[in-house]
Amino acid sequence: MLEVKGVSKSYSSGNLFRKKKRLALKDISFNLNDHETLCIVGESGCGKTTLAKCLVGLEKVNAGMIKAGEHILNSDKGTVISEIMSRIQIIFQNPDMSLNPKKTIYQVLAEPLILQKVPKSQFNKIIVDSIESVGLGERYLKYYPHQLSGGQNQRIAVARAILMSPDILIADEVTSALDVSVQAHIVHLLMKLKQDRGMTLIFISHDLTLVRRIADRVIVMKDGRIVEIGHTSDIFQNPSHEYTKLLIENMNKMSLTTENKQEIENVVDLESPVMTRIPVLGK
Amino acid sequence: MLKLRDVRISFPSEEGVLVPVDTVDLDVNRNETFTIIGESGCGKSLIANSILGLLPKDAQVSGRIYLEDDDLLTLTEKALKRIRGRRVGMVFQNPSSSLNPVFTMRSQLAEIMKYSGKSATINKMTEITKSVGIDDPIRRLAQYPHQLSGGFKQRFAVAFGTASDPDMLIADEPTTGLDITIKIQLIEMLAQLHRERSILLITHDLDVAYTLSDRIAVMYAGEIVEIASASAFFSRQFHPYARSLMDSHPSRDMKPIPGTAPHISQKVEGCRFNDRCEYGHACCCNKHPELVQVDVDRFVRCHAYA
Ligand SMILES: Nc1ncnc2c1ncn2[C@@H]1O[C@H](COP(=O)(O)OP(=O)(O)OP(=O)(O)O)[C@@H](O)[C@H]1O
Ligand SMILES: Nc1ncnc2c1ncn2[C@@H]1O[C@H](COP(=O)(O)OP(=O)(O)OP(=O)(O)O)[C@@H](O)[C@H]1O
Ligand code: SF4
Ligand SMILES: [Mg+2]
Ligand SMILES: [Mg+2]
Repeated sequence: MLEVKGVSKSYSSGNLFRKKKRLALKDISFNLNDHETLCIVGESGCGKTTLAKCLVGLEKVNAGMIKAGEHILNSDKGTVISEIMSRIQIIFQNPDMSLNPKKTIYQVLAEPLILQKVPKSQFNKIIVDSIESVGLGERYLKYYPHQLSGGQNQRIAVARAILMSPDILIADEVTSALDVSVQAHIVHLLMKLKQDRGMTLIFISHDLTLVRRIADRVIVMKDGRIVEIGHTSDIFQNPSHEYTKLLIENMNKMSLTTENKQEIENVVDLESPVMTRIPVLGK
Repeated sequence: MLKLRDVRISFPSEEGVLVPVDTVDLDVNRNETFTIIGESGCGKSLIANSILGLLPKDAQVSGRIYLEDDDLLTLTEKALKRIRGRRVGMVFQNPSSSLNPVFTMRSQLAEIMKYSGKSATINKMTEITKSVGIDDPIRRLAQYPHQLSGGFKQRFAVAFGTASDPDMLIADEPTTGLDITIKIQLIEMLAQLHRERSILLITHDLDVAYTLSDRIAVMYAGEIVEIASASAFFSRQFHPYARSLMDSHPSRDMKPIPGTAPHISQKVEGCRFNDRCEYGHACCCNKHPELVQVDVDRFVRCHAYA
């Protein structure tokens, strides 16, 4: 689906006279398979968000390239704005960054519909379905983002990204601002989208218990590099890199998780009656 | 140390008064870590922000909030300013919005330290920065918020809240977005801190709540529905919401609770959890349950225990 080949990315810092460059991504290569859930884990500052930004073309890579089939989407020559790019959506770590403070929630959710030229007459129904699918209701639509809680805004960001009908959704730490019940709800929604629409999911998270539960494959990053990539069961049962071992050891230190240790399964039960309708854009 | 009595937070609106926080009573004792957990949007941050007078202008607060002998809701802005940062430190949810985008971390930290009467030497600043698990403090202090990753911003937010060495810390989601190694480090730091200070902690991370808390309050739709000592609470939850919440942890069933919480503009006659509760009785729909003591160290708001 996507091919990432030898990607490096640096940020410059320092002042005007003494520019320093620092590599945030070093020689990153991997393939993203169709319909998979690929989780990215790794220490704070290791480059996960930077990689996500490169994948959606918000940052230009300095070396290497990102390809979709024959199309080069991002290389040192720049990023390509194409149909394919619009099929990749990102939900940012911090919802405040992505929601326009001057727009009501209704307007925020109408944006993707306007972009996709959905007939106005369908807006209401789709928007109501959409906000219900993230566990909120119609009553929230007339408020502004600053009148909602952190976790409520995070869910609005999820709802909006889904309304873009992406083929690939990149979720950057989207569940950490949510209580575990709402988190479970959002995870169910994403898994359902994967099942029903064949969406591919890149899920960036620090929550290893959750990652273990939902990932098909896991990328472990440290200091701008991929140190390990593999199937979820391999990563958790036979970690080969020292850093991965440390992560798993630390995960097991978290008392609540360990004390309840029923063997954590790599499944999400989608049959639960909880799910509301996923909004459908009649095109 | 900190006492909230009958605290109610409301916003006037076209459709009548919105009441996101309704008659909350709680005490944070000296050297105690008191943790609030609960549904996203149930009013935790509003409570945290009400204590130091940091709510939006259109918010109305009634009730009483005491910090030792000071009746905080009656204090002038000037008097509150003296308390903020000196006697009470605050870690805000969402550091991306609370950090000032146009100043480096160093000048923001220096400002806070000077304000609380500490000398902001580079050594002291380095030490504080290191204490939140940042091991290249000089480089990080020179950066602006947009140059930092989410986890670094979060750690600076904690550093800013604790820099002035306050008697009490209010920490709203201090560990979100941190990797597991740093999280453990920060938990250790807070545990250290808590030996001689009071902490009001708000978190969605049940591991963090479990590790740090002396007592736990569970909130749902603007009300406290259960208060218990942490050890009692984690071995058994009484309130049906609290129980379902624990069960949706990814190490357990990870089943979301069906339905949604009522919106703050909705008036609910009976128990606010009744349309989602699997134990509902007939009286749950029309009679509002009170918070009653059911055990030496436990209070529950539920007809099933009344
Ligand atoms: N605009 C920028 N200018 C300079 N440096 C930057 C910029 N954005 C990110 N960086 C640096 O690049 C590195 C990687 O940052 P990134 O945000 O990708 O980390 P991350 O893996 O997402 O971390 P976290 O888990 O904390 O969110 C960090 O050291 C960060 O300070
Ligand atoms: N300025 C405001 N005007 C009107 N309603 C508001 C305002 N600020 C917050 N609210 C509402 O009050 C409720 C509680 O918000 P609060 O931020 O305290 O939630 P929270 O428990 O901290 O949630 P989270 O865990 O998602 O951070 C929410 O339903 C929110 O929509
Ligand atoms: S009062 Fe009734 S509806 Fe509410 S939590 Fe208790 S049993 Fe459930
Ligand atoms: Mg990040
Ligand atoms: Mg909050």
